[in-house]
Amino acid sequence: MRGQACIIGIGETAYCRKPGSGMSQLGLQLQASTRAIADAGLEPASVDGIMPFPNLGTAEEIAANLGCANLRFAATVHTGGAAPVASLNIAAAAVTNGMADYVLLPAGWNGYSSARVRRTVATDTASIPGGAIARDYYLPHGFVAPPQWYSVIARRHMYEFGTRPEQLGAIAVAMREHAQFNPAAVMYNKPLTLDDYLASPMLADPYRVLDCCLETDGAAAVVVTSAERARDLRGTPVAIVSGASAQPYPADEITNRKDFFATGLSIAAPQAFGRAGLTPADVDIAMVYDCFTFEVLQQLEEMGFCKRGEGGEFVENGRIGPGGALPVNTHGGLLAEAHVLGMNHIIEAVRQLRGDAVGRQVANAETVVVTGWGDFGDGSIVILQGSERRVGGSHGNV
Amino acid sequence: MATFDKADIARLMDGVLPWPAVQDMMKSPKDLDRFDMYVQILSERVDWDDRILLPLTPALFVVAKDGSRIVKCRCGHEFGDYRVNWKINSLIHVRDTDESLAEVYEDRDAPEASWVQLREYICPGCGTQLEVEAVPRGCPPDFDFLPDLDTFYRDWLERPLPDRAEFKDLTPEVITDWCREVAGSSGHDRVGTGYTKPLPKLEGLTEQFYDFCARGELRFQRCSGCQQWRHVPREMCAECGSFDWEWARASGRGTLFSWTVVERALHPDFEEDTPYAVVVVEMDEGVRLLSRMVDTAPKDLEVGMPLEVVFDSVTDGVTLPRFRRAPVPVPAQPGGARRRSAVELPPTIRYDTEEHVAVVTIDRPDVMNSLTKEMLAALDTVFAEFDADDELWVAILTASGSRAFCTGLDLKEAIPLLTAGDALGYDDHTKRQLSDVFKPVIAAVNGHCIAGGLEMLAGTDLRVAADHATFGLGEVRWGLVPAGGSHIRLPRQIPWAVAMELLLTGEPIDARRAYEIGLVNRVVPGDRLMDTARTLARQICRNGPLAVRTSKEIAVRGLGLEAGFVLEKALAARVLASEDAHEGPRAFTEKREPRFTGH
Repeated sequence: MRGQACIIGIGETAYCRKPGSGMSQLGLQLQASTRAIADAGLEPASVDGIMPFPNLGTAEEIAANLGCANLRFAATVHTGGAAPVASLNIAAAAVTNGMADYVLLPAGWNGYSSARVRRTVATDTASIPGGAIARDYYLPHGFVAPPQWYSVIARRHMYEFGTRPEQLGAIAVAMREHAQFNPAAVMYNKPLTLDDYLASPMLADPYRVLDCCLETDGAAAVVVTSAERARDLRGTPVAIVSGASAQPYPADEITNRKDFFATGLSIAAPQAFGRAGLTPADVDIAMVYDCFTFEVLQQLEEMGFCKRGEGGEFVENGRIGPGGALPVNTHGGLLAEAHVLGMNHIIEAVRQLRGDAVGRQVANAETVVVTGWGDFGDGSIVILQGSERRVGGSHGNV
Repeated sequence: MATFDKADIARLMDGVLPWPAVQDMMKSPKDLDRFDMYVQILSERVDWDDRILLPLTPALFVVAKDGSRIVKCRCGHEFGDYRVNWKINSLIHVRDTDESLAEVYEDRDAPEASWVQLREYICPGCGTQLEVEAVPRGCPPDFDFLPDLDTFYRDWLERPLPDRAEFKDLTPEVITDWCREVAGSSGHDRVGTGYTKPLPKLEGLTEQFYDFCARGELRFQRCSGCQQWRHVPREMCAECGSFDWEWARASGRGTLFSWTVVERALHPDFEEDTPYAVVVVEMDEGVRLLSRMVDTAPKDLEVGMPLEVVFDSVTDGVTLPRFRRAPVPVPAQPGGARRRSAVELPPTIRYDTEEHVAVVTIDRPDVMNSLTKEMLAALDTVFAEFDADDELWVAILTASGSRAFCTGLDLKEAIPLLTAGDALGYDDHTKRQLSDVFKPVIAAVNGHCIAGGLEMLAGTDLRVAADHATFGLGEVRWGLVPAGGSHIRLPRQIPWAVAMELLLTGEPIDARRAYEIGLVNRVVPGDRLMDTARTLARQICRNGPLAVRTSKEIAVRGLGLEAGFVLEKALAARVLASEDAHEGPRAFTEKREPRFTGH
């Protein structure tokens, strides 16, 4: 194994919209956690580190329910949707320097049945970093929610580089096409055409409803341990090769950035690739945090898969869809599988690298990059590779 | 316990009950039927049959009529629903002059009409004065009693009203209606409890920002250390670390940087506004501000369109800055306005004006904006015209392209003339470029500012540099001296050691260093150069033009540079006449190292 830390276990609940999970937010996370722990070949009592998602749970309550009597590492990264990948990097550090042996990363919510954007926006904004700025300078003008915040960046990109709505549509369509090979996806058996996309009503022009991620119920969790410990476990490890997290500057205010398109990923991606000795050209699959279509395009640019301004062209003609040169979000992502805060991106990366992505396995997938995006453009990235213990090759050919 | 009959009560109402009986009545518990007796007497004294529910004044009652409750005068005049202040439907006699107040007050007791007015509310039916109020001028009619009849009957009299209706205080709605009438067709519901949208939390720097807005002023913090503007408010300057800043008045103008059109409000309070455009405005000061448009349909928005601030007072405490189209578009580039020079200029010198600002552009980018004799004369001409034109207050001097601001005299044309003894039009040795211009000149340095370019820069006042600009006096490397005033001006503008470094080594410095030594005021990205220069120009234009011009004249003339210029000319002549002065340019054109002899 090339990395010193690895993901050893993954677990998910079912993902759904109507009529909702019927479980509590904590219950969902516990269900996903027990599955991830079992997948690793561990008992819950062995878990001695927990990194909960910001504002969705505490290490204390999760540990108390699971029976983690030996908890000695707990931390939360407050970067919204960038948190799961950022936490993965910190967990990797924790298990290699002895702060913990087995770190659990749970994330999940009743995003459909209880926490829908419409209901939570006013209170949530106050809780994010920069919330006071949003409260004092954004909310009074009706600039209240993420699709509105990010749409001004998308608009400026369209102005400076000629990016077109059809190119954002290509991303929505590609995510939906991927989901047709994933029976667990909420949008399985619900195909989407570019015309459907263009007919979708505007939400925050240039964002249409179909530019936006799903609102779903569900949870996902992974377990991280050192490569050394992984050898003694039943689970199939996936190596955490390198990773980084960063914030745009200033992170708490979205309009006054000297470089309007700079994100945390613009800083983090070169670091992660540099430390791994890899370039975007070495990546077989990208799991890109797709809260909205344009953010996929922007992150591909900022990671260096193409030059800034060329993202529109890059995502066209099926390049990021099933069987494309760079498949992006083979599970369907937040746009078509479920909004599990990006933890489902990590899980899909593990599946592909284990060779377990039945029905959508990308042949010879060796290197997968996963990103996170949160708040006003915080970014995180991790580069994952399969281990020599990987079983089987291609289960299916997409 | 003393008891009182109906006749006693009637006498009490008429003020004829003997004082001992009144005292008795005051000391003893109230009879249970007192209220009924009272109402009964009142009813007998009016000649209408509607049931009196409650007396408001001796002449005014809430009565039950046709299932509703109205206010009615004893004469029978009806004022309408009891929840609406009856006063606004009465005749009102206002005493708001000292004379009219004096009619009812003894001499010295009369209040001053500038403080107080008396309002007498009179029944339109019988002319009875129903009530009088003394209130500060402008105070709305006092709605002094809105009885909760249902509670009174149910809990006090223990006889619920048969026509029990839902109790509701209509006062806010009535006041809202008045305000709507006053506000005309503004369409905004922002009175009383009407405004429910999120508001900023007024504390600390945010309170200060919005306080200025409430006064109709858009101000941003400007760092006292590096003069950078900033928004949103911060405690310290991230550029230079200074904790000192001022709330500097902003131009209020900017351009549309980006926007979104909210079609589906993700917040219930904004649903009534959809669709609405949220805009990111790039202010002339360089900061960006998030806001809303007030006058422009989303479909008419365009990146780059000029906007100006307006103030929207949404509640008593909060005024939000909003934006509308700027009525007079600011030309985006020099060249957009008329050319005004009276004489024919060479195509390499452009002279444009934007309101009170002249923009002079050296337009010869293919040869690094170097100057010919003709161009030197043209620059003198346009600056003389600028200085003489009362409509023009500030000049911006810049150049085309992004490589060079000016690299000095043209090597092929002007330098040979100079070494051959041509004064290039500068026959008066007490003067140099821009010596006679006492209006402010702002240099916008778009690239290399070398040799004669830097000499010219030393004649300007405020200087903005693109971050790739360089500054240098390379003359000594070619056996020459910069005789365009640099020896005299530079040591007075920057520290001696740095001036000597520039003059004696001939090595150029970059924009950052130029800023450090105070040679330039601002360093900005190239695409912000002209906007920054224009902002400075507009700031100066807000000041008194005579004061500005005189201020510069005092500062320049106070330096007394003339003798120095004469000295420079005289001593430079011996260099120009030397063999080294010919060897240097020759070596330059032959692309080799010069061989100097010191002669």
